[in-house]
Amino acid sequence: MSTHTQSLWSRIFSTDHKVIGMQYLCTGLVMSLVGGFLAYAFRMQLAWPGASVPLMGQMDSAQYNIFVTMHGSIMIFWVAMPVLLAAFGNLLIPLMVGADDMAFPTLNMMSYWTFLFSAILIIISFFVPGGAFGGGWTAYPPLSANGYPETIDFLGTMGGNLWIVAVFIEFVAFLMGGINFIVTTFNLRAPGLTWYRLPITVWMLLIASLDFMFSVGPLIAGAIMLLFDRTIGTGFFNPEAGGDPLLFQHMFWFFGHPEVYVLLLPALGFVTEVICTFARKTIFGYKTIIFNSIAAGLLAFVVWAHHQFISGIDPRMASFFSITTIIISIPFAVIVFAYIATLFKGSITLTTPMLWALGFIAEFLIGGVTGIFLGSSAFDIYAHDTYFVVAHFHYALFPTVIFGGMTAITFWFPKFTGKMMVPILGKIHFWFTTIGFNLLFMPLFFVGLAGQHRRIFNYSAWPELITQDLQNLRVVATIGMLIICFGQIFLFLNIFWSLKKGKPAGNNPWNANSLEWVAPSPPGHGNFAEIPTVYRGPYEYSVEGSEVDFIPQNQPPAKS
Amino acid sequence: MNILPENISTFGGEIDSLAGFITIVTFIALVIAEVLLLAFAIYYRKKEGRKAAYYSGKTWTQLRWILMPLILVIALDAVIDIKTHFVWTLIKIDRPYDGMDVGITGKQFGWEFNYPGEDQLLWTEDDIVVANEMHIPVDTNILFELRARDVMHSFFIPKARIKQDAVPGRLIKGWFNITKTGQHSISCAEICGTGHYKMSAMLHAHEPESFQKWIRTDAIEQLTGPELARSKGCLACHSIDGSRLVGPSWKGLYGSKRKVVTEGKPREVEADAEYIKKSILYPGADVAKGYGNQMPAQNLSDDEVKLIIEYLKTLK
Repeated sequence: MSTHTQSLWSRIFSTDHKVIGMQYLCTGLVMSLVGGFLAYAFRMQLAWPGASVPLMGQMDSAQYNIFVTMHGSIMIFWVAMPVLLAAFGNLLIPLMVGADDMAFPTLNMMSYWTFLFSAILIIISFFVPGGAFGGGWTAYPPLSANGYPETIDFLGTMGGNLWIVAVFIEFVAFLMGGINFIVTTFNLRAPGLTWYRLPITVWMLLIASLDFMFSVGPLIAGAIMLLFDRTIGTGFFNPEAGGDPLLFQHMFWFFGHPEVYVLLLPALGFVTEVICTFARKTIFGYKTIIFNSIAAGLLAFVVWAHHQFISGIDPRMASFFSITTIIISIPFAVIVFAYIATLFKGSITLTTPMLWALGFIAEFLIGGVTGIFLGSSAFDIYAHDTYFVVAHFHYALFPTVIFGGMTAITFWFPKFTGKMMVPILGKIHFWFTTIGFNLLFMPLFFVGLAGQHRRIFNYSAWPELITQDLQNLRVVATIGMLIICFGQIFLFLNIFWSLKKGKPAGNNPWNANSLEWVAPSPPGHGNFAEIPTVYRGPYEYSVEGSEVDFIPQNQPPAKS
Repeated sequence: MNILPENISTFGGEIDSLAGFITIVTFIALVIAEVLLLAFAIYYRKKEGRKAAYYSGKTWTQLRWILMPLILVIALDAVIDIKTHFVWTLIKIDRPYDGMDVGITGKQFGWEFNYPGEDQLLWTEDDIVVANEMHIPVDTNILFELRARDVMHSFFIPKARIKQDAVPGRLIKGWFNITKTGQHSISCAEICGTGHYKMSAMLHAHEPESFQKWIRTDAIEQLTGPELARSKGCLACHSIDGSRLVGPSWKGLYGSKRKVVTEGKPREVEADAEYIKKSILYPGADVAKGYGNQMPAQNLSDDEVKLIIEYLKTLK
């Protein structure tokens, strides 16, 4: 362990994977406040159309479109990606594989600062003339491209250009991070740490990184083509000039769907660690989970057009994508079954991370089964672009990002700060968030099934959609949103209180097995006093014939 | 149980029964999984003196506990896929040959419906064109051809369970058959700009005789100024009460002095008949100061322009 003193400069521009991970995490949390505020504002408008929104004022339709667009963009690209993949990939991979840092620490540092630059750009875009981009987070041309023909209301302001550039730069940042994750996992594993002794989190982060790197190319190309269409008058997506607007949809969703698994897989990894630790059980079907995750990671590349069933693609293509989409539910069904089997005959303690992990499984199941409805191309004719879709993907992504993210934050907080969190505050936060979440998104399934379509600032133009019943559901959803907002106070209270006055954590507060618990809390520069040697897999809990109910990976086998 | 709105099309029932089937299958699976999860989390709480079991799930004997439900999942997935394929084929692939042709055009921010004129062909000069009102006879195959004039739109009749994106540069064919007379909302389900929230139209389903009467008389009758302004979508962006929307309000506009920007230079003009006609046909020529150049050129006849001007004169 190196003990050299560091200047403030080198602490901020640190190449240490833990500092970079924390920088990603904090930036992601700050951006989640921005994304959350946008959601707050447009949900208030939907519940009480035309009323002045506290902290914001009256909303108009252009603002509404900007807010829903930026909410989606920020939550996916500047919250979910940095928190789940970048922050925990950075924090955990080197520690879990028993390395002193990432394979390319300087590249890793560049990754964060590039990312921060993109985050600043997207914030700046709110303040340029014409405001931020408001064409939906999917940015479909021609609304987002050049005029077709010339005099339409296309969103040609500066905000749209900044949106494209920011997304593009953000991808560059994650490409630098992704290559680091992959090389570190391949090359820097501690002695004895074979592939099948890796914690599932590392596997998941690896598959997610590979999925990201293989899928992002077309979208990067699409973003540049869109920027050229907007600024220098090319016509890639302009039918007048021989282009095709549908091309962009393919480029977007070829990335956009694997992206869901880029986020989901790491969350599944965190949940695996937590349920094994707090059920004191070995994972049921280690290889089964890994092979199913790889299968899902591959299948993720052949499902994208389920976002486009009714977009004007050849209808004969739909059944193929409908079948692949429904097939991709199978690996995730296996993984959930494996989790339930892991809980069976366990010795379960409902700590805060365990609550989040169980909450993740319970809520994600709803997101999963409602995906079957949308995967069915025929039902999608009706449900596409309605609130049923909104409810479905929030039931998939909110558990993934918030429940999965909180699972990781509460589980590894002691490791990276050296302090325990306050359990009661953690539980209050969990229950407020869970109740608010269901209250928010459950009604949206029903307004969606009633035919309410998306991205509408005020439904007064449709007599069927302004009934009192539907308006009541919208109000219930908004109350759910307010409950979630209120609940987050306890999270920040918990974090600041625990940082100042939390009980010291010790190296291994949860009696867990993987290598990060061998290092001191918080781990110093270089992580381990000496690189550990690994003798077994990471889930050896309650082994028969063993006195204690856990055997760390680095504990040498008893001499026989 | 009316979670879905009333169905009014011939194939809507197929979609509803597919949804019902998926609901039953997934709901049972969901309840079993949630109950097991909850039961295990409660029942296997830590107790003094009891140690957790060790099941690695490495052997087939253990793995069968997750493989058996999995086979069931795969079987049910297959049934859903097959049912889906048939319903999809019925709605989106097997377009009938006999029926009534209607052209549908999505534009910012309204719908236009073309009915073939005397030549029996769509998209020709003598088409009867109606804005934001789609009139059709019931129990007739409506063979539509869908276009978009500017950006993506999506033609959606919730009650008929039909939705199809309209894509600039493409002519997309589809069909539906309405079984119930009355008025049913049409929405645009794809975000298409600031006026997306106003892009609605109304489907009027007639008995065949009353439809014939409509197409022979009402459809080609002269419109009044306010009707024309509404049906052309003008009022989506221009208020008549002085409030600010996407474009300047029409209240008190006629005859007033207007600050405009012409080729980047500000100047002042009087809003006379000539100016208004130019602003309708070439909206980008003089842009009202403080507003964006967002208005699409309106393809109005001279008579229609006169109607709008007469209407403007009344809005003092």
